[in-house]
Amino acid sequence: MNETVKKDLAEAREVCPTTSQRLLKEGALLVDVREVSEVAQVGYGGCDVVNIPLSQFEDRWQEVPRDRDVILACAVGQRSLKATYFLIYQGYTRVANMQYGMQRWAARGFAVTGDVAAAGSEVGGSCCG
Amino acid sequence: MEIKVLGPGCAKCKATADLINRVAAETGKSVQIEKIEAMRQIVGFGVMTTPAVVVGGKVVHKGSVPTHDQVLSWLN
Repeated sequence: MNETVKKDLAEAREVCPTTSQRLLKEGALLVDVREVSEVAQVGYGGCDVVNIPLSQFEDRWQEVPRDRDVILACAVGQRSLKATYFLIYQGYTRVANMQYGMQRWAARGFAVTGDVAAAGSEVGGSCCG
Repeated sequence: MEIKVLGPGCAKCKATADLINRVAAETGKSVQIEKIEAMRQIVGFGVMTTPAVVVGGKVVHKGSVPTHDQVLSWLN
């Protein structure tokens, strides 16, 4: 394997779905890191979105633009946090993780493609929206 | 010898650490295993798939439990 460069990563910026909506309307790109089968069931709608599954992320991360704000998202915000840190490791600065992911996105009534019931339901919790 | 096992504390991560300890005992090598479980620290090694193993500051394996022979090669 290649020589390892260990980096102390800065804490990732995290935004809730409501703030994400605003950033997306201002031109940010949403990168959905859920697997293809998950996206086929229910997808993020109403915004510019690309799907790079986490299982392919190490091979495809260079598809993520550096010159644009990017929000990473998944089902509940954990896989996308890992992807966010990976992009930070690769030197990206305009990246943020969407906390709570599709589950809260759908609960807030934001646009989806497919079956909204597949987004899952959340109990309690809140964000700024 | 210092070896880092990167992973969130799952069964495969534990199996990796156990295997390294077992091979070290078999070969009479002295190893110190440090488990790195925080996501931010794990990705700080450029690693996304776990368990991963760092030997001498270099990621030598990632994404699965290593084989006995792989561990042996790291210790020699």
